[in-house]
Amino acid sequence: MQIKVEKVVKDYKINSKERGLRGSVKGLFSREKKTIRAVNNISFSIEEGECVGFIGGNGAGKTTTIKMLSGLIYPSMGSIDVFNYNPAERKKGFKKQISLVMGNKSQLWWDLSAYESFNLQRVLYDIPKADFKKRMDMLTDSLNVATLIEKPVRNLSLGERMKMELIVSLLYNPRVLFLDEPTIGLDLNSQKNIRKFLHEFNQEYNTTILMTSHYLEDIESVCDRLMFIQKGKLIHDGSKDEIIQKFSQDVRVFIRYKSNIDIKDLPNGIKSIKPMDDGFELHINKEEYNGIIRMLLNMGDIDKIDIGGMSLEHVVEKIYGGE
Amino acid sequence: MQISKYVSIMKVSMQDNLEYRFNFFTTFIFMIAPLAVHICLWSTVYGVGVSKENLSNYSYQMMLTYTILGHCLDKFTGDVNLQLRVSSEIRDGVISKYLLLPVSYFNTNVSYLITNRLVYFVTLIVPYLAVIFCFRSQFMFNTEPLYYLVFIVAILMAIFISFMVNHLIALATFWLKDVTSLYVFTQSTFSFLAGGYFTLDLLPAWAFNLLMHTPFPYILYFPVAIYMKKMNPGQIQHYGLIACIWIVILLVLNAIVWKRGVKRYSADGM
Repeated sequence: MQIKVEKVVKDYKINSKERGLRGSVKGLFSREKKTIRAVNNISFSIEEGECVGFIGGNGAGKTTTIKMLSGLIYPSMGSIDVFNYNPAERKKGFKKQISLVMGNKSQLWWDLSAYESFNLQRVLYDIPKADFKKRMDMLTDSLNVATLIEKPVRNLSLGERMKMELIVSLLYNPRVLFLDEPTIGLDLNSQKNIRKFLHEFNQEYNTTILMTSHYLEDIESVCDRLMFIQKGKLIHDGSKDEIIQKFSQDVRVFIRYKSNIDIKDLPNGIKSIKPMDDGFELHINKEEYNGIIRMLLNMGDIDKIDIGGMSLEHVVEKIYGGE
Repeated sequence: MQISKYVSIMKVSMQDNLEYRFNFFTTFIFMIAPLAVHICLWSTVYGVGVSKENLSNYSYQMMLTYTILGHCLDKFTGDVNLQLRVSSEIRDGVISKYLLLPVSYFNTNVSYLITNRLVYFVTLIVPYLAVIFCFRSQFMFNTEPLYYLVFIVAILMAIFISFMVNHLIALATFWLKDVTSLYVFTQSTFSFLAGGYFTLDLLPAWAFNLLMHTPFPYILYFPVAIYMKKMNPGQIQHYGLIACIWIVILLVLNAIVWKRGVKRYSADGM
């Protein structure tokens, strides 16, 4: 067992202030403390080499959990064990085995080339020179930034910088990589490259990856195991397929006819119909699927039909739909 | 080796500093203006015939020497950006990065201090030597090498004391969130208490004695007084000891406040 989290609770105390100017003035003298439970009794364990994605809305407790696992903040209750270390103690042996990348925080020297930051990392983490060279070449090659490492970081695009952030945090070969919104603000192409890289890296080096992201695609293409967090609680934990299976008794069908078909003419028994610009998106219960598809095919000449399982996006919508 | 890590940090921060060469030249222009005002002021005071008995026995030459040296040390010993930088690093969560690095934040800041003081030294030495050269007929030159040695040690202590005082104040950000107003207040007050506006010898004896028991005069007045032979060896030893005691106190305070601050930071996540 690499990471073990048991009954962890995290409460934040925040100053609450009454509204308006009056409240602000009052707040100067006495402040009421309000406790907010960001993480509520979460337990899970993660094995070496697993790739886990945290899914949840803003303020669900994802980042708080990542911060506790990396030792930046202490849990209020419960225990966390990461390779037999208590992260909150921030022991050197622990720090050398983990890496945290936050999409909105930089670890690079802004005015210097990325190479300078890499080289400093080499010294700080006691990486042997030969290993360093090998790893740097491997990482810069697979992220396609080998030609950019001499350029000052401030002149890099956001996507290029994020790749450098990943390199600087992987140079010392950490056993676990924590990622908090690694693709935030990136264009689609950069997002795709980073996802692909993370997936391959995890496969090849068996580095455990824990990531949060608002982009489901990030998590879908990188992680095999998903944890759904809602209001500080872990509401689902399982493999991607399991979760899709569990939540989708439906099949999704996109259909477009050559002639005009009115929505009223579609067969009965379809769970939901969403008219699109040039066709319909239908959700059909698995059990009635065969009959309904036959009826749909008989209704007219089909221009396009696309049948697929429920995507993770639909599942998430379903899980959080009731919020 | 732990030291080699900090040496590497120094090397990188040195390069970072040099990226802003232009910055130094512009800062210098802004720095020289107040010095000119100070010199004009004292020239006028002595010009209207105020006798040196009324000015704690400071002759015009002594006052000029103190003003130039004091001005130079004020710029050299105090890192003006430190407080704002540390404070914003705490407020914006940049220190998270340091909490996860296998080096300490305080020592990293000491490394930065050493490099940017070196860069400052190289940039400041020529212009200030030029100023001294312009006033060479009035400037008092100390001819005893031993004094220079003690002077340099006192400057190094001054840099470190100034650093630790500012670092300590910046750590207040853990509790106050914003220390910008504190910054404006402390910078001018400290400069005054250190003797940056005028020599502390002009103060009444009781105020002088009181001040010499605080860390501030050791940031500026003390080294200049050594250079100007205002103190005999016994006094230098006595006050040097006080300065050493303050270094220890400030080190301990920084360590305690940092530890408690980080605990708070870690509890609240800010």
